[in-house]
Amino acid sequence: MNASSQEMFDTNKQNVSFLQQALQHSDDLLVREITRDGNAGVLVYIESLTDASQLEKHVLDPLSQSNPTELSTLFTTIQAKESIDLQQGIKSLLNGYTLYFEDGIRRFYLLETPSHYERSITEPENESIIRGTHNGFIESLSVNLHLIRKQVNSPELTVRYYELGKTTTRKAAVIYMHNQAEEEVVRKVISRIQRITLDHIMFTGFVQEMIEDNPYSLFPQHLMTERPDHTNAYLMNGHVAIMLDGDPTALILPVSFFAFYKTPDDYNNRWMVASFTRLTRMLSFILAFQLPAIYIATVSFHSSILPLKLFFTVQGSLTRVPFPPLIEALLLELIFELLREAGLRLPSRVGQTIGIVGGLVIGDAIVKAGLVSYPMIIVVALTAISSFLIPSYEMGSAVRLLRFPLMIAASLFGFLGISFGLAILFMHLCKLESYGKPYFEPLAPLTLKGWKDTFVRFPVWTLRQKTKRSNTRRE
Amino acid sequence: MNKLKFAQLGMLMVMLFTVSGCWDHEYLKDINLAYSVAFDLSEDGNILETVEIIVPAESEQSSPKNEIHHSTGLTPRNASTNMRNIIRGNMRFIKFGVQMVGTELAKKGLKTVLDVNFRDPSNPTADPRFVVADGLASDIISKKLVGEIKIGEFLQQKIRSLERMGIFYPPETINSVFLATTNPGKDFVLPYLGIENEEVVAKGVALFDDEYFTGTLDTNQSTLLVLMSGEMGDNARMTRKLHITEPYLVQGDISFNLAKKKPKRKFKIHVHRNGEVSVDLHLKTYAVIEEFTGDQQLKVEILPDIQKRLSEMLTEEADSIISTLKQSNCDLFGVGRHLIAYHNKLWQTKNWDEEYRTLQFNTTIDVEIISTGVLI
Repeated sequence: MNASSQEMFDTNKQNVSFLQQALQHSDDLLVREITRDGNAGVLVYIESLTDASQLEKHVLDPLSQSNPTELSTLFTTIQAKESIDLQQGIKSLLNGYTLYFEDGIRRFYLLETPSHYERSITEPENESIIRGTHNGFIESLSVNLHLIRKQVNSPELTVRYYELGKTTTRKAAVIYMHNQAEEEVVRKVISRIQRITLDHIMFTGFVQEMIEDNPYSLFPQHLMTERPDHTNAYLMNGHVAIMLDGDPTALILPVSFFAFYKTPDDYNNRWMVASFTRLTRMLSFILAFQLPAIYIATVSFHSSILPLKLFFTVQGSLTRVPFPPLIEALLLELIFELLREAGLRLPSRVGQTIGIVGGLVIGDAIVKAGLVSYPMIIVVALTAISSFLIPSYEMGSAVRLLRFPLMIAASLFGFLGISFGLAILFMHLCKLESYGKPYFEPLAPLTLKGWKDTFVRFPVWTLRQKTKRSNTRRE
Repeated sequence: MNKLKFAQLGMLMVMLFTVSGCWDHEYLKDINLAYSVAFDLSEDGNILETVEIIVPAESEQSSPKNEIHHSTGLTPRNASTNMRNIIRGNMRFIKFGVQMVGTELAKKGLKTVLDVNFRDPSNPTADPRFVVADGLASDIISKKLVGEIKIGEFLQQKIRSLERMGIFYPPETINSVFLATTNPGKDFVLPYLGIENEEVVAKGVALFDDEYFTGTLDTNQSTLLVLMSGEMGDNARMTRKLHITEPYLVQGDISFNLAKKKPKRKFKIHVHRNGEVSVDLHLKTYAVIEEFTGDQQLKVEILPDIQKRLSEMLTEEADSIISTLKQSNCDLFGVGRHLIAYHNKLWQTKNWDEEYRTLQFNTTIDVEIISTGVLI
């Protein structure tokens, strides 16, 4: 659009009109002319991005002082830079800076006077825990970094800033522990981030899709969290976090599949309780995508595996349903997904109505109408609950999607189809890598040591700190 | 070009799911489950098949009902085919629990009724019990309901409980019976049910020679037979009349359980130089006295005498069991198998069917009372 740099003009008027033209004569671009020691000066700032009290205290007050001083020491803003490049001036204006031009000086001043409107630090609603810190990231990168630094007061904590996007730039931070993170991983992350060539980065999801190893995989390869304690735990273990200014989500990498099944609660509970809940979650993974498939395969191919009493009950309720099991399952899954999506977007008061409509009206009436059988409702309900048990929303959605191909395989080939489906799935999982780290570790490759904190959680003192790697790195 | 290929691939995928039929689908709701089945010899020499079919309940609250159907055919498969003409829908044996055979058909051999059921891979063979019925097996199935319970379920539960009581043991399934009929040198016994006073009762065991039904033992004998063949159910309860005069008078009915401790069985087959074969069977059993109805108080001093008397009685009974086995030509203990394995040349010279009847058995049964509970 514009040249990358533009040297400033001689007169204030020319400079101001250049800026106005560059900013399309926007109405919130304010120009205030003042006189200092008889010299005509101009303040240019964008009203909507500027904090009025800062402007008054640190810019206008010093300027109105009568005794003449050197301009470079006059302003009391946190940052006051000099420049002659108008393009840089435009960039700064858009970040809440105020520009000061003065006749007779062939440079202008960039004064930091941005306004901050931030929401308070609250617990993220979709990642609530029972014990532990109840704070969460917000939409300001500096506050988020503050939350991290407050818990990790180590000199090893490293933050690297990058500007992303062409039209609108967003600040991104790559955060890692210098002594823990693997150099190779950090280098990969940084080079991938620098290679992002999108015009504008709106969400962390954009970054994720641009830098992940396998964008065509169903499985998320970055852990997304809004919890500082979760992020810190991973940082301390040598993972890297990416945060975007204006987004409360931290991307954690490299992660294995099983990271999505851990919560900070696991480490606040007693280890036996934590192990039990973790095993429950693992069971939920299996249930969430296999149960409908197993049910379909059972009633359409292998009904002989049902115990006799169950056989009659299931058969009794199936006889009234006119559809094949797959259609029945898809119908109910569709209804469930509709309800879920509707409930997600609605305010909570209307959401209750959805619950009643879904649970009572559809759940009961659909059986009475003979569209779906009771066992199918149980199966789909159990599946739905299981998919919500997964702490990570992204993984939950992935698993929910995963059951459809498996259902089709089951309806075509029965248990054989499920076996083939699972074989393909596990092949994919074993092949998947996240920044050179195997995604399905510690199952593939099999590292028994990793099991201590995967399916169960051993007591904390047995989970040896990863000092070995940092030692080799230091040398 | 690339787009065209992509579209073709997409069409192919869609067609895979929509056009192709699922050739081996068998929806649960379309299955008519045959739960128990009986085979008999009809008067004209054909196979008479009687099937109990479970009809699913119409509502969630009510329980399923059963229907009894009969058909005849030249072979079991032919009878089943004819059955499918009679009943609606697809009759399947995938969950069936009991297969019964009437005495007349059993006398003609079991292979005819076993073969097709054993070889059809969709039929379960490892679990369904195989039972011989006194008279016509279809009479038992035709009772339809025993109390509130459907006949197939009733038979299944009955056989299982009798197995636990040690009257029929080990459990004989279609699998084990079929394998036994094809194995020379060892025979088998099957549960023997019949109708008495409109009730389905266990009548003991049916003895088989090769695949032919040749004789029976009653339930008292079958309990002892199970122990003699080295097996043990959960219980082996017996009640005998006890009459001892020396040194004290002890008279009354005594109930004891021989299956609380595994009996010690010594089974030896002697082959003499002249080619004669004799068998030693010594069984040391351990009894728990559970009941005594006599007037006298049982005393510790008298236990050896009771032991001695019980041993004599059981040895006598064992002898009569052995003689019945010999008459029926039922080589339950596998003496012939032993000869095939270790004295093959001798075996080939023998006409085992004849020789088994005259085989010498030396049988002793020792009873040791290990517990008397609260009786003493």
